[in-house]
Amino acid sequence: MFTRKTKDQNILKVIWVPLVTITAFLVVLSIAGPKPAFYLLGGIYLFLSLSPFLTFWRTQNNGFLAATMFTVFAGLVCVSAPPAFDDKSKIGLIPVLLVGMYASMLVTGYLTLNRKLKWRGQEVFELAAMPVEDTGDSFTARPRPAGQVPISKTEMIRFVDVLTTKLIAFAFPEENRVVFVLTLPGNDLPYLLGIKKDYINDTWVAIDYEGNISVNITQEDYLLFKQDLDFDQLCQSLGDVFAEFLEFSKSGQETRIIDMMDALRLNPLM
Amino acid sequence: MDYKTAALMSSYLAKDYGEDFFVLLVNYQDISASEAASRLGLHIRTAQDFLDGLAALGIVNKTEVREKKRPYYRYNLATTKLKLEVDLGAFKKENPGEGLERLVREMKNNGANYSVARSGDCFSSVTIWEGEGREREVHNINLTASQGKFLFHLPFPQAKPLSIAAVMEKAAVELTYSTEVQDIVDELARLGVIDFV
Repeated sequence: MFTRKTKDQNILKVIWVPLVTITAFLVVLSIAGPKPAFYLLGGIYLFLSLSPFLTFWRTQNNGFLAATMFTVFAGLVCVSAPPAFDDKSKIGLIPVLLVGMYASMLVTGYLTLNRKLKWRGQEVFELAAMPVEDTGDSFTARPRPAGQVPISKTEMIRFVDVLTTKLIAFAFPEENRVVFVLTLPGNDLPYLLGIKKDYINDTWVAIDYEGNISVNITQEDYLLFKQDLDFDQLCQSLGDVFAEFLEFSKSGQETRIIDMMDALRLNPLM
Repeated sequence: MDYKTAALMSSYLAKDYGEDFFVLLVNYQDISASEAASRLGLHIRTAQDFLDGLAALGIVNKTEVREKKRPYYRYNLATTKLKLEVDLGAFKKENPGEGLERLVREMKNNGANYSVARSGDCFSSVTIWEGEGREREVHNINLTASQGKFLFHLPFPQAKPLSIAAVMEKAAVELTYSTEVQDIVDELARLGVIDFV
């Protein structure tokens, strides 16, 4: 029986955007009526479409294209609807937009429930924590070497593509290595917007072109675990997880990486 | 000659008026502090201290003479050649305790902050906070490449301790760097960052 070792994330981190949107819509609806409320909702949707588009642009994950289309269609529907409230002849392209909205919504919903639009940081932590014992009070704020794997430049490029498109980690290519930063759902925006340009205060796994793996886990991420796991073992295990991912990537079995994480059956939204 | 004597001697030689003093000492049979001070335009106390310092080092002889019952000192050069030789090899640290066989690992909750070098495979510096409140002091130690590699491979607090030699081997640090590695190990142990097990 699999026992989870990480705590659940605060759900507010994920649902605050829809909550704020609905609240704003209801407030404007009650104060100024339906037309301004729909214009506001449309504006919010169109503005929010930047986020999935940015994620698609940065990660090349096609699922975010569907999410972008959904928010754009929803925004256009909301913006086009008010003139038709008084005069039905002004319905224009609304039916076409509605079809587009519902179709893209179904695709986005399917992808969300299948964890295709979720940053996999927590699942990676869960995999790393599996073989680690609880020894208590062992955290130290410094990176640790975690073994060596044979890797060529081509294999590294392929591995970077896999981890980025599958939303497992952000890659920071450097002169002699690539640093993979683990991201939890809701924490990705600073990277997507390009606000965060370094990884100094983040959890990362670096692999250099000679195959040396280094691991750094931040205190904030260490507190994500329910127990005081042996930090040394945890870092080693995280390095081992990446080494395993790399082996799958090298042998063209990327789907097994996703299968490993899906098998954990964590909440698809958090 | 030990380092402290050499440093003292160097400080006298380096004084602005040092050369002028030696010119006098070489050319006079002997000289008093007041005579030298008036000749060189110095305060008598300065001249007295300088000559007494040279006397303590054995460079000049100090002789008490009396003039109408009032004693004073005259100085004459004991040697016209000064040889300054310091064996810096004496500073080489011998292996303290069991040397490279000492078992080490990082100490729990040491509060040190490590900066990773650009290469990513070693640390470039380590910052340690010592003391409490307003007495708190920051030690920022810039590390050599071998020290940085060694610390990067230092076992974590709960990990199995390793000998210094084993950590050096793991970090691919050659044995010729053992003295500088042990120097940083001893310093970090003193600052409560490294634990000898």
